[in-house]
Amino acid sequence: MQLIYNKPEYRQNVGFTLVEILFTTILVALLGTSIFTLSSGANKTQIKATEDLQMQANILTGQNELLRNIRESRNIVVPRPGENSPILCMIDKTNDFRVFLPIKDEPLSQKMGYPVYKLALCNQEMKTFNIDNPAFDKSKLKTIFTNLKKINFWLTNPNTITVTAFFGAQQREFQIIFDGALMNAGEHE
Amino acid sequence: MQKKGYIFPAVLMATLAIGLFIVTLSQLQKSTKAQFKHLNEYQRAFNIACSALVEALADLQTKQWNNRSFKNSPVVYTKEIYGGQFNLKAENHSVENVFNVVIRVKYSEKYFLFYWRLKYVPDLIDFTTLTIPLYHTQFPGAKGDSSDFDGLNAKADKDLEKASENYIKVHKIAEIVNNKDSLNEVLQTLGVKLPGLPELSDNRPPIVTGLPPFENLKPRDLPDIISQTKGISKPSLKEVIEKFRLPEIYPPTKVPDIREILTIPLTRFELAVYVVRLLEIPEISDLPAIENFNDITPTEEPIQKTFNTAVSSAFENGLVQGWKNTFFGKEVMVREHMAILLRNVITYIDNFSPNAATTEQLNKFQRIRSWAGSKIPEYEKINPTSGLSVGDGLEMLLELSM
Repeated sequence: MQLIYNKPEYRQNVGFTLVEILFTTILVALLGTSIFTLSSGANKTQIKATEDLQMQANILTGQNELLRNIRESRNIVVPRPGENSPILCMIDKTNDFRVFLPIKDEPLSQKMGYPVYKLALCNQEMKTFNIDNPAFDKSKLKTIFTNLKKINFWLTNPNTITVTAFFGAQQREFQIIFDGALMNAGEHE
Repeated sequence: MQKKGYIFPAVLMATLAIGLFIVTLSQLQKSTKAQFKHLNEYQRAFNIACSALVEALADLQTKQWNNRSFKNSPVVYTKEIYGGQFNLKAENHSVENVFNVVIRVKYSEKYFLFYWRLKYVPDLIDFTTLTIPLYHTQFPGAKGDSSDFDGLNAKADKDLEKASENYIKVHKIAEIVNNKDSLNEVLQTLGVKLPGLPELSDNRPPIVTGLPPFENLKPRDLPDIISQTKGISKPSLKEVIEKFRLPEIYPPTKVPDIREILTIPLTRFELAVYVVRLLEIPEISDLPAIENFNDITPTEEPIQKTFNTAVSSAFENGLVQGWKNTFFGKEVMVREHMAILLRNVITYIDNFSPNAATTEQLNKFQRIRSWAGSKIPEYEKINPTSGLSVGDGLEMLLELSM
């Protein structure tokens, strides 16, 4: 028995017609362009979103740290009531000084093109502190915020500090305002 | 016979690729949301801890000290609130009228520990406050899962002992620091005058009443709620930009979104355009400003041409005079000069013939006159030498362009 199948006809249909190739090429080009546009737009959005997220993380983590420090403190020395100061100086739960102050971040300032600061925490221990020869070990500086453009501490009442801070990122600016109240304001035993 | 080709598989693959792309994007968004949620866990945990502490203090209010629930033995209980869980322990301290409250909060599978040592002080004058805090500390994150409550008491004892040792010295230094005349002296006294500090004034910081100003960031579009409460329909920033043809000086090719330049300084040229267009002064083709101001020269450059026309119109109508035949158009507009300009605007409005204006225009002039009158003292007295921003100028247009 001879096996008959349409091999010759099949072979004839293996190639593509010009119309098929053109149609497929145009279709693929159109889809490719739209995917590329979508992907490039999404990529830009993603970069912006990532920067936003990093700034949000920087701000919220710093805010939590600052709030925890304020809540654990006993007294605010600077600013005085009503003053709007870039520096916050408090007496903490062990009666040591805690000073929050902005310090210029040189590499980031160069990158951004305007002065950008870090909010640093200096913990000045009374046990070793000598007022006649005050000194501070810079290696003990702790960074609370980065990308800081400006910060103000405002003592609204003896127990409450209002913090306003401005941050600069590559593509946008952020601002925060929050209150922190001392929770250690009672007398010690 | 119909040829099959590869069109259908190509379309299928493309659809699949787009589908996968959308799924990836939505996953990314979910993960971003999760990270935001994670960041605020401390604040949520603190809210739960404060609510738990209020419960413990309410127990004292209702039962009084002699009948307190932890009088004979510590009280320990667990409760779920605000989507989290707290575990509270209240117990007497060895000193009379002193007690400890430890609250461990579990939120989003994380633990936070809050500790209070409180003193019961019944006060007949203020019966709402029966306790004062002697010591408070917090352990966020990993340290919060400690179940060693006795260890916390020992830490509190140690910190309070240190506080006692430091008490006299710290208060003596605090008094010295508090009386210093400048922040530089404060930092010097404390030994933390470090390099890289911002420039600090030789005087103490200014006293602020009301909310501290949010500098350098101007409001974006006015929220609808303001116009709704005032019952006035205010235009949006976009409408104002179109109405005053501002793309002529901020071409979209250079400034795709005008909101991004709100914080940059406002030049005298830009303000001339704003004011001339606000007062609907015809922009003249012969340019007297070129003859009168040495720093204004004829040009075909479109933006500068718009500036020259606006300055000429403003000059012709007595709104700007310049200084020694110079206009200083590229300089930033300072507040005290803005006050002078507003005085000229009032004079212009007062000299305007009512016959030449429609009722609508007269009403608008009346609003501008009243606004200018209220703003002049503000510009003259508060930071007179500081510069205005594009945001300030647009705010003026938003306010007055109704």
